[in-house]
Amino acid sequence: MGENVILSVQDVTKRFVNVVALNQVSFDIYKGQVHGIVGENGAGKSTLMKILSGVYKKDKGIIYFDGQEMKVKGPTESLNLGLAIIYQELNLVNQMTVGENIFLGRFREIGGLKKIHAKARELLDSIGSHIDTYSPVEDLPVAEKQMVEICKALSYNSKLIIMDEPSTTLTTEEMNRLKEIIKDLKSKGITIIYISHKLDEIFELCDRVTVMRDGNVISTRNVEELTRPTMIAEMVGRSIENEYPERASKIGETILEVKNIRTNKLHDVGFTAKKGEILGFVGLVGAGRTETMRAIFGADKIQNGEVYLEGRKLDIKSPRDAIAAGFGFITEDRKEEGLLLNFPVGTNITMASFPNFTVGGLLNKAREKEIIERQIKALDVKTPNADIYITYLSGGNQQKCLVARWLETSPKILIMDEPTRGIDVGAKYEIYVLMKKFAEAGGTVLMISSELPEVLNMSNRVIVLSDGKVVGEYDPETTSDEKILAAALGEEVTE
Amino acid sequence: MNEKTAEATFRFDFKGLFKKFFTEYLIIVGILVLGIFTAVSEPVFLSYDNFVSFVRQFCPLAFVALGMTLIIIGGYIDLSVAGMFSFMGLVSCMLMNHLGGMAIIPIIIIGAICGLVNALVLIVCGARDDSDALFITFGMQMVFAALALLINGGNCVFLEDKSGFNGAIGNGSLLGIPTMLFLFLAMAFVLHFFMTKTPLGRSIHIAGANPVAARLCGVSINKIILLAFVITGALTAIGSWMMACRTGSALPVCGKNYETYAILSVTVGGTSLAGGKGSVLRTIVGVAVYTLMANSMNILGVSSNMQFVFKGIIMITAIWIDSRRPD
Repeated sequence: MGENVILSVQDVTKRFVNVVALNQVSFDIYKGQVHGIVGENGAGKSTLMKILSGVYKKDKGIIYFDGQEMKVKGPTESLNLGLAIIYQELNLVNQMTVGENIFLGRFREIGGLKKIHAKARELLDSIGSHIDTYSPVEDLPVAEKQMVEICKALSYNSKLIIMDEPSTTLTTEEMNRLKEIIKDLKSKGITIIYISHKLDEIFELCDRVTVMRDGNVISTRNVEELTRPTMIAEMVGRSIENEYPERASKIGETILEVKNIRTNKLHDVGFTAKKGEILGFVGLVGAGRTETMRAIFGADKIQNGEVYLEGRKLDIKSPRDAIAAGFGFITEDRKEEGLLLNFPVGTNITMASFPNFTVGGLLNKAREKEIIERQIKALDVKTPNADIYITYLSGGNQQKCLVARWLETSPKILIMDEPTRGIDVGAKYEIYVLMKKFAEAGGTVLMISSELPEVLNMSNRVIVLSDGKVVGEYDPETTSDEKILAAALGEEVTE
Repeated sequence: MNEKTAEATFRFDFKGLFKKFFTEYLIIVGILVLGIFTAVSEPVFLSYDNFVSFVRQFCPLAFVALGMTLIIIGGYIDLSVAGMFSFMGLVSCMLMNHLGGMAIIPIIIIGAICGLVNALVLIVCGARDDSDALFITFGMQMVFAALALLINGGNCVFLEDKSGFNGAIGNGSLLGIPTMLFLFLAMAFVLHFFMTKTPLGRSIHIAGANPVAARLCGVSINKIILLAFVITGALTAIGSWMMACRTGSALPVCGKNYETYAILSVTVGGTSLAGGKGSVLRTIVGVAVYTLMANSMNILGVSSNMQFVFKGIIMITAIWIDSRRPD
């Protein structure tokens, strides 16, 4: 073990009942580096982080932190040692102010509220943030909450900060700021473990990368020695030729016309979509992408606006009307707005299509079973059977069930809001193929995504929204990323 | 890889199953033990007379609990059934004194209207979960309880004619089994069928499990609220009417604590207070177990004040189990 190793994980094993979550995991992390950890869902990243932070106990193995063997019993102890973790679902008290959150539980030590706010100000300034230390955390956007978390970590004089999927809910602009902060922390000698699904970020930010799969460390290498395809191959265990399928190519007539949708957040949004088309929607968080879809789908009230499907004007007052008219809506938040977590896979698949198995006013169990089996097979959902609770499936398979739910309603228009958020590389590709298949069979996909490469590679056309308005329409094959991004940021686009 | 994840995350452990069995059936097994103890120490417990009195204690509450089952599965709760039960008891007696056997029709209609009022208040207030419903129906409970006192100046109403249809329900038997039990079983069968076999019944489960997702899948939450509360109003009216037929009178406080007993029975049966999961059959078991407990304690001579202590403990245990259920 060299002088400059800050964290050394040696042969760490962790089992849950009869599942091996970590199998003799070993790697070193060097001082002052950004160390990426990548792997699909279920690879063991989160388990490892929870062991480092003291939430879980390891079964076997040794961990050295800063030259000492680490034997922590809980998160507070590891914090005091100088190891902080920033979870994806941040750990802040929403009703309290920024300053109070940073020094939560240490008011007395610091010496009263006034001093807390003064110290918080210093910390925030040190990472170049101008958040008011007196504003309640609940009023902040996610990106700023993250900065509060970072300051909290810094307030413990952390030597190592673990960031678990920090970019999932950030817009590109916010991400750029986070990158700056990470580089800044690094220059101050703080080591960072950066966990992410987004390989672009890994390549841009990290010095070294550990790839994990099925509870094993596959490799730990300097980032220069890695290429994108090798990293994906190591994560997935097989090589994936392309990240995206070819664009959908059977585009027909205009089927959907949306005109002048107005709500509190939307200002006369309008667009058209064609049969067989994948129409991408780009914009910052809060630009009105999801709001537009919810308005069309009847989930939110609108003040004004018209929707025409196949030339007919629709009168949609509720999601029920929208479904009857031929719309499907796969929401951004799978757990909150999509799944019945503690219900069988089957029930989750059929819950939008009762008419398909209602005979004489009664649910027909045999026909329902047929539907479930057909969909599971058609979408290749990996599940032991249709009766286990959907919460036990991986994110990718849960998402496939949601796609199945809506395909079963035979929609003409399928809205997909962040269709691949939080799912792994292999499953992503499968979702893309499903989208393409649906479009080429004559359906129309309205796709919202914050991952620019995804929108640009999948869409036939891209609509850019900014501040509740449509600010542009682009052909992603001929337009540069920068131009679309600039439009989304609300900047003047110059040719 | 994916296949592996699915298998790996789906854990099959016997320890968990044992735990599940233990938590699911703790109260039921406990009360059955109490029943056996009572049967051994007080032979009268197993007599035919006690069976009849058991059933007549069971049925009025069971009707209320059936409605409560629908509401709880739908993700809401109704504390107003106690006041409604008292109110409908007086209304029932008054109507029976005027209309005789025909009174049951307006009784059900008035009960349904009480439920409708509940539902409309919930909808207007934009109640979206059981804690909203808790406070709103608590308010409605006061209103109904007050109506029960106001309708006859705080006095009870006596049933003048205890023969005919009303008497046959209250105190009659068929093949040695109290008639009200047949009525209950028929109703329970219909509701069970409704909840398991119809799209609307399935929708109630879905709405209770995740109202946001349910709405986006085309389920109208307001329709679910209307349906569950109107049915509960009607069923509470029937339960109250039965009680009046049996006792031949109605006190303005005859439904006191019925909301607690109904919720207790539903929870003991294993229907989750979190919504979405449960069944009418479970509630039948729950009411039977609850009645068995009350009946045993009566026979053992436990004072009524002491009985409340035990009922409270059972209620809390049932909720504790509900919160720990491994699903």
